[in-house]
Amino acid sequence: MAGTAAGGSRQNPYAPYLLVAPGVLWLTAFYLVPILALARVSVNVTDAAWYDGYTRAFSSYGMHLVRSFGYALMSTVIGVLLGYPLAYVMAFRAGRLKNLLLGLVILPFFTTFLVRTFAWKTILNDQGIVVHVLGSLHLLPGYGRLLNTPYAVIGGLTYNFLPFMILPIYVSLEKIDRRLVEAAQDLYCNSLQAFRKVVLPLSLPGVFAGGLLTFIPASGDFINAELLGGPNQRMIGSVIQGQFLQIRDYPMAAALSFVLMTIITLLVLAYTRALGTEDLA
Amino acid sequence: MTSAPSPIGSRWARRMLDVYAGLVLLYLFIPIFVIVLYSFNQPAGKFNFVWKAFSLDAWRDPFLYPALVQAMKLSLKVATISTLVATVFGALIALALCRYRWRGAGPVNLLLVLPLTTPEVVLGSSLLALFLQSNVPTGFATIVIAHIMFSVSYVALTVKARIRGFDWTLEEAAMDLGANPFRVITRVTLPLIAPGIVAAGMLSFALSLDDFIITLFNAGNLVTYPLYVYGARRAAYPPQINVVATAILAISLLVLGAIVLWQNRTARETGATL
Amino acid sequence: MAFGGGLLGGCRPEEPDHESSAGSGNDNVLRISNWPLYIDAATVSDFERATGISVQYTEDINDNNEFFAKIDEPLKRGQSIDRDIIILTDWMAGRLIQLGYVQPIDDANFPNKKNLLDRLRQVGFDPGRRYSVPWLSVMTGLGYNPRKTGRELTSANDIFDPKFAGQVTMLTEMRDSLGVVMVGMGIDPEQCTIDDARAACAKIKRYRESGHIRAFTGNDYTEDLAAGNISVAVAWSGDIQGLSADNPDLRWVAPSEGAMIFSDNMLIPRTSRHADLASKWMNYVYDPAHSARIVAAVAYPSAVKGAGEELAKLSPELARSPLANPTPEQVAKLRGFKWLDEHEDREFNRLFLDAMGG
Repeated sequence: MAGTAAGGSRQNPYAPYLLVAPGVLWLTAFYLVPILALARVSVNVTDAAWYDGYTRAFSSYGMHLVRSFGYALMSTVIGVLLGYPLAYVMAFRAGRLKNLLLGLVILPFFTTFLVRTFAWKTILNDQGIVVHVLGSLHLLPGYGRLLNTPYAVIGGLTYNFLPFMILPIYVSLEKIDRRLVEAAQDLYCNSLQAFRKVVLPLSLPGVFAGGLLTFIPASGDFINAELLGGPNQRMIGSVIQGQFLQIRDYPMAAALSFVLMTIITLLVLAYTRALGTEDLA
Repeated sequence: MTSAPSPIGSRWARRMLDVYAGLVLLYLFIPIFVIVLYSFNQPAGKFNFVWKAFSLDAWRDPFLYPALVQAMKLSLKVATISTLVATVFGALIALALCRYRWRGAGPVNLLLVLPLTTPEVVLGSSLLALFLQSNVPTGFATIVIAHIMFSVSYVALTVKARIRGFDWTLEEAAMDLGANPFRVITRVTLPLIAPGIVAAGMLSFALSLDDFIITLFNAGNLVTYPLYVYGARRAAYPPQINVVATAILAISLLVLGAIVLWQNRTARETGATL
Repeated sequence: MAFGGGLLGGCRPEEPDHESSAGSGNDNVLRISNWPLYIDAATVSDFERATGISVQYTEDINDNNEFFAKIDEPLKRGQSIDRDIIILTDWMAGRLIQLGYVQPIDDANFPNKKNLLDRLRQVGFDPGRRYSVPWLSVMTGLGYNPRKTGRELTSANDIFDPKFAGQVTMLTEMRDSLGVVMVGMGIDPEQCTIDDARAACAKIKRYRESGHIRAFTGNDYTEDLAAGNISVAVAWSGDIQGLSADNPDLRWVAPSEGAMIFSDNMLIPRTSRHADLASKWMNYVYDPAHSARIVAAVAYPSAVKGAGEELAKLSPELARSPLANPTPEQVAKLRGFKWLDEHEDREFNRLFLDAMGG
C-alpha cells in the first residue's frame, strides 16, 4: 500500500508541478508542438487546394499504407503466437530460471536494430543454408528466394519486435495470483479450461500492451522492408522518409505522416474500447 | 517459491510447450550468433553477407574505417548527453507522479504515453517539420534534442514502475527524527529511487545508441553509428561493423551481469527482494 | 520559407559563414568525396608525395540525389560541408552550378586543363568549364553473367526477356535506367519528351510489379551479380571490369541500340577554402600518364587527351578495349540524356519514382 507524502501543510503544493516542469516543457516543445508543425506543413500554401497534399498522398500511396498495416498486423499476430508460449513458460514453468530467461530475452536488444536486421540479410541470403534447405524441400514460392519477398520483411518485423511482445505478456502473467490458478484447477477438471477461463483473460492486458508495442512501430518501420524486401514491399515509412529527405515534397510528406499517426491513434482507441483496458502504463 | 502448478494439462503437453518456448528463444538468438560469427569472417567482396573464411583481421583492425569510428564517437557523445538530461527530467517526473497526489498527474501521464504510441517516423518527421519551420539547421543539437525527447518517457515510466509502492512516509519519519530536508533527500529519498534511476539511465543510453529513424530525420549530414550502418547497404558492409556490434553486446552483458550479481548480493544481505 | 526551395530556382544562398568554415582554411588538407571503385590504389599517395598536400579521400557518394540531399541545406546556408572536391554526374553538376553552390576552378593552378578532350569542352551546363571538369566518363549498359543467362546479351530489351524474370536489377539513377529502356523502345534519350518518359516508366513499372525486376540499386548490384543472385543488371561499364578479377565470367555489353555515356565531374563547393589545392589535384590527374594509371585500375574512359596512348604502355589490352578507351567513332554512337529543366526534372523523377515502387 503506497504511502504518499501526506501532511499537506508541510508540503509545497507546487512541488509536483515544479518537478515535472522541465520534462513536461521539453515534451511539449519537442513532441506536441512538432505534431502541430507537421499539421501546418501538411496544409498546402500554394495555389492548390489546402488539402492537396492529402489527396496526392492517398492517391499515390494508399497502397503503401494498406501494405504497411498489413505487414504490421501479420507480424503482431505471429508475435503473439511465438511470444505468448515463451512468456507463459517463463512465468509459470521456469522457477529459478525466470530471471535468466528474462535476461536472455532482453539480450538481443543490445545489438543495434540495424545490425540485427542485416544479420537476417545474411541468414536469408540466396546462398545461405535457410534458402538451400527450404528450396530443396520445395517450400519456397515464387523465384525460390527469401530476400526481396514479403516473407522476409514480415519475418524481420516479427523478430525485431518480439521482445516488445514477450515482456508485457510475461509481466501480466507473472502478476497473476497463483492461488487463483489453483482455485481454477480445483473448479475445472480440465487444466486447459482453467487456462482459458482464468489465466488467459487475466493476461489480456499484457497481450494488449504487447500488441500495441509491436503493431505501432512495425507499421511505421521501413528498415526491414528496405534491407530485406524488394521494390514491391516498400512501406509507408520509406515513402515518408524519401519525400521528406530527398524529394522535399513537404506538404505530401507531412500529410502522409499525419495520416499514419491518425490511423494508428484511431486503431488504438478502437482496440482499447474493444478490450476495455485503460491502464497503458 | 518454486514454479506454480502449471494450468496446462498432461506432462506431454507441458513438454511440448517447453520445447516450443525453447525454440522461440533460440530463434531470438540466431541473428546474435550470426553477428558474432561474421565478425570473424573474411568477406570476398565489400559486403559481409556470405561466409568465406575464418579470420581475425577485423578484430585486429577494428578502427580501419575512420568514418565508422567517427560515427561511433558521435553516437556515444549524443547518448551520454541525452541520457544525463533525460534521466534527470524523467526521474523528476516519476518522483512527482509517485510521491504526490495532484490533479495534473493524469495529463502528465498521458503526455508521457503519447510519444510511445506514435510511430518513430512521425516523431522524426514532425520534429524535422518544426526545425524547418523555425529555420533551425539540423545537426548535433537537433539530434540531442530528439533523443532527449523520446528518452524522457521511457525514463519516467521505468522509474515510476520501480518506485511505485514505496513508502514515502519514510521521509516524514526521517524528518521527525530531526533530519533537514537536504539530508532527507540525500540519505532517504535518493537511495530508495537510485536503482530505478540507474536502470532507466541504462535504458535511455541503449535507446539513444540504437536510434535510427528519428535520428535520420534530424541529423543533417552528421552520421551516427546506426546511420553509418544504414548507408552501408549501398556501399560496403565491412566485418568491422560486426566487431563493433559484438563489442557493444559484450559490454552490455558484463554490465548486466554485474548488476544482477550486485542485486543478488544486496538481496541476500538485506533479505529483501528488490 | 526555408523549405520548399530545394529544387532549382530556390532562394539565393546566403554568403559563406566564415565562422562555420573556420579551421579549414589554414591546414594543408584536401578533402575529396567520390564514388566507390573510382580510383586506383596509388594516385592519392603519389599526389601527396609530389605536392606535399595531405588528402582525405572518402568514397561516400552512392547516388546523386542522396548526396545532394545531404549537402543542400548546409550549402544553402553557406555552411561548410567539409569537402573541397565533390564528384557528381553531369546533370547534378549542372544543378549545383545553377544554385550557386560551387566556386570557380583556380585556373592558375590548373595548366593541364588544356588536356581536356575536345568533345567534353563545351557542355551546356557549364559553358567554358569554369566550375567543373570531368573526372572520368561512364558508360551504362548491361552487366551479366553468361553462365546464368545461358547466352550472350546484345539488346537493351534483353533485360525484359521472360527467362530472366526475378533476376534483373536496374539502377536508382533515373537517367541511366530510363535511358537504357528508352533506347530499347526506339526512343532517343537525348530528345525524349515527357510522354516518352511516361511510356518508359510504365514499362518499368509493369516489370517491377510482376517481380521481373528484383531490385533498384546503387553500386550494390555488383555483389549480387558476382554471387549469382541476379543474372542481368543495368550496370556501369567499369564496375564489371573491377569485378572480373575474382569473377572472370562477368561481362559488360553496350546495347546494340546504343549505350548511355555521361561524366562525373569534379566540383569545388563554394564553402571550401582550398580552391587552390583542389585545382592542383585536378592538374595532377589531368596529366595523361596519371590519368592512364587511374583508367588502368577502374576501366572507365578518361577525359584527358593522350591518356589513351599512356594507357597502351600500362595495359595494351585495356587500351584496345572500347570500355576503357573508346575511339571517337565509338563514342559518337553513345547517347547522353536530355538536359531537363526544373519542371521536366520533377516530372521525370516523379514518374520514375512511381515506377520503382513509390
